[in-house]
Amino acid sequence: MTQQPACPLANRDELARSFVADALRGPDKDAFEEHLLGCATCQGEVRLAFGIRDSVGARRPARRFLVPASLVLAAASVVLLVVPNRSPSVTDLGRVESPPVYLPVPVRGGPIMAMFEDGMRLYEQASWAGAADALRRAAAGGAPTDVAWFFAGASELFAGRPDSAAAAFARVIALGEGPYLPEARLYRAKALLRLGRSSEALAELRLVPAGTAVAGHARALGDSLAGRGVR
Amino acid sequence: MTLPARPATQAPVPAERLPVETLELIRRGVWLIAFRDLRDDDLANDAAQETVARLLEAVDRDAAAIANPAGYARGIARHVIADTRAGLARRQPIEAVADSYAHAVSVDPLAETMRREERDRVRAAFATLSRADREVLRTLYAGNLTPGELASRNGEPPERVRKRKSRALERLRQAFFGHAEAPSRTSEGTPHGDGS
Repeated sequence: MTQQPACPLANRDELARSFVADALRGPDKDAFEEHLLGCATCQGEVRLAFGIRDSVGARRPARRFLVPASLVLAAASVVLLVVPNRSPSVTDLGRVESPPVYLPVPVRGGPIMAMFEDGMRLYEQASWAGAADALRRAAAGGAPTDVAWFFAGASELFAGRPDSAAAAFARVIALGEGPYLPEARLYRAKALLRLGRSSEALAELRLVPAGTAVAGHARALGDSLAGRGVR
Repeated sequence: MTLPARPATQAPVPAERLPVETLELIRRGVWLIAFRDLRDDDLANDAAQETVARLLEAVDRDAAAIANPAGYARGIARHVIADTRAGLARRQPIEAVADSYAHAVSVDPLAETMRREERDRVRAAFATLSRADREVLRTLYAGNLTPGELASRNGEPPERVRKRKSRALERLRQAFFGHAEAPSRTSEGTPHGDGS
């Protein structure tokens, strides 16, 4: 048995929390992960942090590979419905005028990735039901999960199935920190509004982090709901 | 959030004198990184074993060139995990899609692979926390906020949030480790208690 030196990191619980959320970046990430390989104390904190995330209902962080970093959502594609001379209803506020934009990049093959690409082709052709089906199966089979679930949710929204859309966006959210998390919260809120679940929508909007591409939209929509007495 | 440029838990150990305990610590650390990235217990085990095997091969080739085994191992681990990720889609047979879909929609991989008793201990302890403390942890861990961000959002003094978080974490540590501080010995159980 070897006695390990005391861990010098005073903020190890925060580092562990960020580690399991895959929220560390750059030199912080490099330094902590290297440290983790030599520190039993921090390994224990990370195991505890995994346990806490499990207890609070969070899921594993996003798996990022092959595509996601190169995909860009056009946040501006989310448009709040504005009807002249009439105040939109809460349900109307859930309307999405244009689908999120998908910018494809070449990816490595395999049947699952082929299914994912088929799904995205259908998405770009506005074949929403087919796209949703293919993307769900691709996500389940190992395609880039956050991307696939996100666009499955967008496809469901445009297929007129807000309940399925909300569930798909919830899958992205459950994956934790990732490039699609803010957008998934916004679109899930939209789906919930379409279902008349305005309080849940407002709660989701309030979780969209400040400083992200869709934060302004989320805040405007949240304010609009609050102005209608939604709590 | 900042770290020391190079955390100094351990002075780098020359690779030719790597003790078994150090290798085991590295393996467990790689497992945690791989589990986070791959979301699969078996894949994380494979990645950890592969990383240690490659580290030992490198030590055999030129131990003197490895001044920092943990850093070297992390570099190996990153490649191993990336290779595993890239191979996942290629290895998945198309016939498995329907089954894996049904599996994926109903199973939380973490709940499935997390060491059961650890999870249960944390959950039980979590349930004993006050509602306010549970809410703080829920927001911090599920919403991925820092205590400062949460305090700002709630209009509370940051110190109050930090104290509440510290108090709650100490109770969970008691339940998780059996004492208030995280373990500092390498003889603690494996990350998932399977003896691997």
